[in-house]
Amino acid sequence: MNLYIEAIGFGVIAASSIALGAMGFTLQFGLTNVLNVGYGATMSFGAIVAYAAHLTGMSIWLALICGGIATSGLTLLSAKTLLRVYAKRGAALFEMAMVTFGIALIVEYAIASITENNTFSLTIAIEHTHALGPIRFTDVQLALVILAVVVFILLDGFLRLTKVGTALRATAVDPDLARASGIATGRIVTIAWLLSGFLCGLAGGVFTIDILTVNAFTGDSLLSLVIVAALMGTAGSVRGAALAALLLGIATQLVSAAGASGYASAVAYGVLAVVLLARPKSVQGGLVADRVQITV
Amino acid sequence: MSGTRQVRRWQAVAAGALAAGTAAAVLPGTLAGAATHHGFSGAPVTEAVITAFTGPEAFIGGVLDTGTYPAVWAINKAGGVDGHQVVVKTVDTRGDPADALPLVERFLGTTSNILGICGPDGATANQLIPLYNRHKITVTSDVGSSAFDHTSMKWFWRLIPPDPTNGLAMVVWAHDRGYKNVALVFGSDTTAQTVVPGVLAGIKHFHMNVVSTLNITPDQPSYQTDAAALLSAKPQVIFTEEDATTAGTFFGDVAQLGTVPNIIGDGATIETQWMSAVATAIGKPNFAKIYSGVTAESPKPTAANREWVTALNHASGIVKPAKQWYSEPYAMADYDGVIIQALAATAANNVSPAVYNSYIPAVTEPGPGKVKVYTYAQGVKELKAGKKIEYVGASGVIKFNQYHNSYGNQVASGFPTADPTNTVTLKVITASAMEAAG
Amino acid sequence: MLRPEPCLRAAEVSFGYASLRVVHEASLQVGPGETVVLLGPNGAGKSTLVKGIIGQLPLLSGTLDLNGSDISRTPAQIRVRQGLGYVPQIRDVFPTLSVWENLTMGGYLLARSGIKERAEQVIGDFPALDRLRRRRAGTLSGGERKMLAIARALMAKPSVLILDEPTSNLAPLIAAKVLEEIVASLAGAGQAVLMIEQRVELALQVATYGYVLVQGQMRLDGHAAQLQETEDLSSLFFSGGAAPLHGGPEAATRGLA
Repeated sequence: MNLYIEAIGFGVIAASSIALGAMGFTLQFGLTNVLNVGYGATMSFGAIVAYAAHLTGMSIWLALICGGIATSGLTLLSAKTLLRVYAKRGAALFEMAMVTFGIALIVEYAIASITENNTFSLTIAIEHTHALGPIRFTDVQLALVILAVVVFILLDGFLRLTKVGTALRATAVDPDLARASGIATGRIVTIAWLLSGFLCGLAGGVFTIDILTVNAFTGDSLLSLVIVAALMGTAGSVRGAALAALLLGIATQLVSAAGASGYASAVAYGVLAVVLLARPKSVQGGLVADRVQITV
Repeated sequence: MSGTRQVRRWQAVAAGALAAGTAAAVLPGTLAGAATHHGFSGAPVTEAVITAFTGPEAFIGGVLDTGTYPAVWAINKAGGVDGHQVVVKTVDTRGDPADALPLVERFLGTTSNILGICGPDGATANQLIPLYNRHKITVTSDVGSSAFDHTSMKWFWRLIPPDPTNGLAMVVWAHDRGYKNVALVFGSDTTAQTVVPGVLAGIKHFHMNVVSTLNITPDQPSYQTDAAALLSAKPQVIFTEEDATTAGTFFGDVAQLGTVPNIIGDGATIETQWMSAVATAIGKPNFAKIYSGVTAESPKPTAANREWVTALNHASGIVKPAKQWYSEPYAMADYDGVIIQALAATAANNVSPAVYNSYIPAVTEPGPGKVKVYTYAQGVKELKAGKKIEYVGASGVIKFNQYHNSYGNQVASGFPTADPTNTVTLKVITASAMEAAG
Repeated sequence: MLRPEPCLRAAEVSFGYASLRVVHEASLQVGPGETVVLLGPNGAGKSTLVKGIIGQLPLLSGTLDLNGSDISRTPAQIRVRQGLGYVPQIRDVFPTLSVWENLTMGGYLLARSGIKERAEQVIGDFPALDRLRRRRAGTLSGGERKMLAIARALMAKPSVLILDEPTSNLAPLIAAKVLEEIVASLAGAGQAVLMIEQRVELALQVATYGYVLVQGQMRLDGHAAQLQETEDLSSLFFSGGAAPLHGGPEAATRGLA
């Protein structure tokens, strides 16, 4: 029984990187309608940058921010170049997903080539292990969870309490009406790409701190859970993504506790399948958008 | 099947690394002059390399070619087999049983004077080896599948231990250390699973308790619950293989929750990335203390290795530079296989496998009054002089058991600096010890 | 009856899709305090004309003026800035945003400090919205939703408010209420309103002036009172009107209105 309670604790820790990733994914998908399957590769990028920054002697927390900023730049760059070119040529949703897949390959294999396909290990001194009943966690893990919670609160506050944040939600739900209200939707979309990229890089870095290793394909192991969480939480909804990430993190660890860790991912997809049956709308990007929206 | 092959490649690399120092000593070996021409009295005979040259297992073709061409070069240099020149022909199975069977049937039907076969790839072994057996054609093989551990097929000879042997050796080593309560932590991919049957067989033999079995799916975001479950089972030792990334994450999670038990890794864990990932995750001093790896023993280099290097440097038909193959254990085993065919044919005075096949143990089995030979030329000379011979190959001592499998020794090593090339031999696990346990 | 000086003037404008012209050299104008209704049968090109005016379709010929300046080539977003308010027929509010947030988005172009004040003003004009501030717009009733849509558009203090079939999805009783209470009150406040409406009789009771668009051409215009008395109004609607010009607009306009 204790193992199950312990697993819930582990689930919360695992959820921190899933949630950061899913919040970024859902923002970008909700707004641009691009199913960005290259998100895993950009998470790897963020993780590698954070790792490299940490190697230079930077504190791991500052390095995380560096990874986020770099990924933000990379994301915007790919959006404004490759994605924009294809969107202008009228690529539909599926084609755009393929383009992001192509970008993923470019990014991952570029990293693999630069790093000579090495896996790097991160050493973080474990200072204290805390116990909360049967739940055990280290300082670092606690810090990761707090980081994710803080980011969630800031992001949610930004989206609900600021003019630009509200405009972001408005553009996600109806870009035409947003334009008719005088919202510069192009700028809003740019902000979304930047934010999403930052969260993506942060997720990659946090994931690396959690699992202590990083290579060109690190982000891919997180990608499926991130996408499932984002879709479960309804595309565009940061609250939904965060909640779904928490549920998924706990669910996958509970499955492991039951001795079936091989089925953890399957369970995640199973949950998604049920959610989609119940609420098929959640896979639509904007609630009404039926086309890709990169730079409008 | 490709997974099976994959793990063996890893083992090969590991063994190669272990042998790196010793192999270097062999390199300046004598390079013989250009092959002298001999008048061959009989029609040429064919050594057929039948394996995957294209498709996912295409690299196997390269390895088998690398064994066969130098062997044929050495045989022809020494006058061929019983006066027949040997030529190499290759057949590409594409690693696909459906493609391979008709192709190979046609090849066998249209090719006369086949001396023997070198092959196959893991994917077509189950179809092709019985076919050769029906045709009574000798096949020397490096296929890893445990389907051939207890085969009764007379024309099949395997010079490489099957994958589970490594697993068996791990358990023999653990038994030697006095461990009773063991845990199995293996990646759920086929690559990591190939040693598991050997591990289980050994565990059964020694009546050990399996307190925890974890099949961990590679590249999961977290293994913390698995790690907690493992620790709560309190194993004395963990038998393991998984990819480096997964290993780093998993053992890192274990270390965060408590004291990491002893780890015995298989040959695939004796690899820079794996060691580095785990050592970083659990701390280098700790790693040096609790980890040992078990893999095939690299034989001490003999005259056979010098001849192998010479032949490699002269043979056409292999992928250059030849240097890259100097310590490739699979190519060495394949080379030895072809040499054994030719020696047996010489001993039988007959190039037909249907006749010479039963002479194979006669040229490999150690025994009183037998002359150890290290090259084909030497073997022919001794046989012609009426002596009995024991061929010691580039891959070491060859000793076929009743199932025509030749198991080499395995060795358990420690790695004080978490570097696969810096090893401390902890124990040599002999082939007979493993046979007793299996 | 003199019409006021127009704030929006379309002179002989043509709009269409790709190579198909839907609206042919149509003219109309709207001035402060006027409620101008654009009538016409289905497929006449009413929506196309409105989309052209707000800038969602390019102008093919003619001129468009807003408050005396030429907006023929001005992008849609800038037209909003210059005083063109628009309430679409459907998708007229942000359903996942609250009523209050919808209003603030309507006032997006206002100075940050002025948004709240303006929203309070607008709520003052539509007191029914007061108690709904925190409600998600997607959960409002049809009438409330249209009220919010209009209020949202008014946030930016547009000089001309364009309503695309404001009653199309409403029950008759609610539709009458929207036209008689909300739309009529706009004119009372001096707002220039241009609306497309299918409920001809109801619309003409509320409107001050009307245009009738048939097969992409202005067939008739006049003060609402005059139009109400025009006997052949319904025949214009149902006969399809005069001979088509420029070849086959019927096919082109089907389903576009």
